[in-house]
Amino acid sequence: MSKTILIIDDEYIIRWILKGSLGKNDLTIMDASSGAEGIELAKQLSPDLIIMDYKMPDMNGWQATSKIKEFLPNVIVIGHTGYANDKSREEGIKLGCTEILQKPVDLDIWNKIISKYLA
Amino acid sequence: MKKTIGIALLIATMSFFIYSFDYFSSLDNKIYDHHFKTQRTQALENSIVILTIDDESLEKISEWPWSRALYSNIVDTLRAGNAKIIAFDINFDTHTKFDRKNNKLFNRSIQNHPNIIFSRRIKIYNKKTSFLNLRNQSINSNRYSILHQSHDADYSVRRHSLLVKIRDAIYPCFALDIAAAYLDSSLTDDAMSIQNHILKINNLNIPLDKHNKMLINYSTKSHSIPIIPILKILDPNFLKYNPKLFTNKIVLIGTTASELQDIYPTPPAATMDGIEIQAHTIQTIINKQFIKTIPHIYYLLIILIPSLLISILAKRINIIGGFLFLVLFNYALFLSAKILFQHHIVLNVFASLFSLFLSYLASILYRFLVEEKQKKEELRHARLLSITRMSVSLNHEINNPLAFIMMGAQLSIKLANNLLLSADKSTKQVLKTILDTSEKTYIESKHIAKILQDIQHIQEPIIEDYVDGTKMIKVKFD
Repeated sequence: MSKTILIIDDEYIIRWILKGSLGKNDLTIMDASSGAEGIELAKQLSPDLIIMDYKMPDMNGWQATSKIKEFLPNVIVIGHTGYANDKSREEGIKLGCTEILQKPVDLDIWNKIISKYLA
Repeated sequence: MKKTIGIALLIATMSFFIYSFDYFSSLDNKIYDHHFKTQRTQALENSIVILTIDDESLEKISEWPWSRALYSNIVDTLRAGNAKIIAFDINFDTHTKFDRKNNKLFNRSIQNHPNIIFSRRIKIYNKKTSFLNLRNQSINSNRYSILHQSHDADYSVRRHSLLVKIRDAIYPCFALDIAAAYLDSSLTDDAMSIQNHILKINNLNIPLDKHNKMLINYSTKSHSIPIIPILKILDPNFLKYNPKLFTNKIVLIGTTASELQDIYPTPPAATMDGIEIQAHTIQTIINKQFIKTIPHIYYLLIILIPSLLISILAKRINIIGGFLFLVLFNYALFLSAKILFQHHIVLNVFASLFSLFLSYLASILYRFLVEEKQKKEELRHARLLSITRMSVSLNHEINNPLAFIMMGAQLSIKLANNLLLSADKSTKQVLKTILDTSEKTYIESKHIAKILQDIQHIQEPIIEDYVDGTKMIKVKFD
């Protein structure tokens, strides 16, 4: 069965690169450009994995994660942030992120992460 | 706080031990002497008259040593003048000439007076005390007591041994013997005992210092003790003109002539004749105006309390304030010593001052070191904090665009590789250039990412040289 990945990031280029790089036959990749749009899309799609940016204009990624976790408690959320210290990591994990990666993340690592969680 | 108190305790204990071994005594003695020079004069009763062999008498009475007939004459005159006690601080072997007739005369005179005391000198060799000379057999008396002037390390005479031990027998000293006779007190072995630095003689308690010596009270002004040259008393009309002079008095007979020098430094005067020191010693006992010392063990508290106070105060107020307290404590100690001395109590202050001063210095030094350490720690913390903040900004501002650059380069490599298979020759050339550039971009952006991550984990900045004396923080860790 085809798996769905949702990319939530306000940067178009990041979304575009990730879509272009991670695309495989059995993966459906969708994207949203803000926290609110992401939550809406997640409701409709029930994705298997979400790539969540931290810094977005309407809300931060950890807040969006906790809202999504309310209706999709089992979804895997990979936090993606420009700066991750111990404190922000801890907070992200507490609000529902499965794992937090600090930018820039090598595409090979993205692929490994995807395979790890969606095998 | 606890540490400075601990240090003060240590210093005070150390000072007490130094004090116990008398290392402060030369300074304390100076203050002690000063008290005698500055104290108010006391009108105390005088019980003593001194008769002296002075320079004038030596000059006028030409033959020397003097005949014992002359002393016979003196004793008879004193008896006629109702002297209560006659005491000789004179060596009859060397200061008088022996001849049978005159000696008989002298012996008859002394038989006629009930209270004549002779003196014997002693020598102390290898801590063993013995008589200096054999007893003079020609003089028909067994009333001898010990004459010995003990002095402190600076040769000043401040205290006196009232009892002297010679070969298991205890002898009273000259001054004690005379004073006891004056007070009609007997000096038998049963009547005397020393307990807790107090010499008990019948009803009289004489306080002694820690070496069991009595401090001589020099309060009686020297000029209040009459000193009469022997020459004058030989005048047959002397008693007629001075009928009451000797009545019920102790008459000490000794030397003040410069030729027979017997002088010592004392607290009130740079030099004093030995006979005069004896007079002050006797007078101290008779008037019961003893100078008391504070029991040695109390000095532990006298030293400890000011030191503890200053170490507590110095911790709470600034250095200047602490110094003012130091000066105040010093003043208080000196003032206490002065007031106590007016009540005939000696307070030695230098051990306490020494401990006080050291405790103050130690607490300042300790405070300085602690503050210095704190400042260094704060500086280090501030420096580290600014580096951390800089690292957050750099990571935040650079990592986001760096993500585009790195992932973009990787995407370009992937796409170029896909196109390379079906491209014609000229397109292949272009794609290869794109591939090379993208790979370079990918590697360099990974390098930048690594440096940013290392900065994030700096705990202690390492400064290294860049060029021309410019310094930089080390951020590259291989």
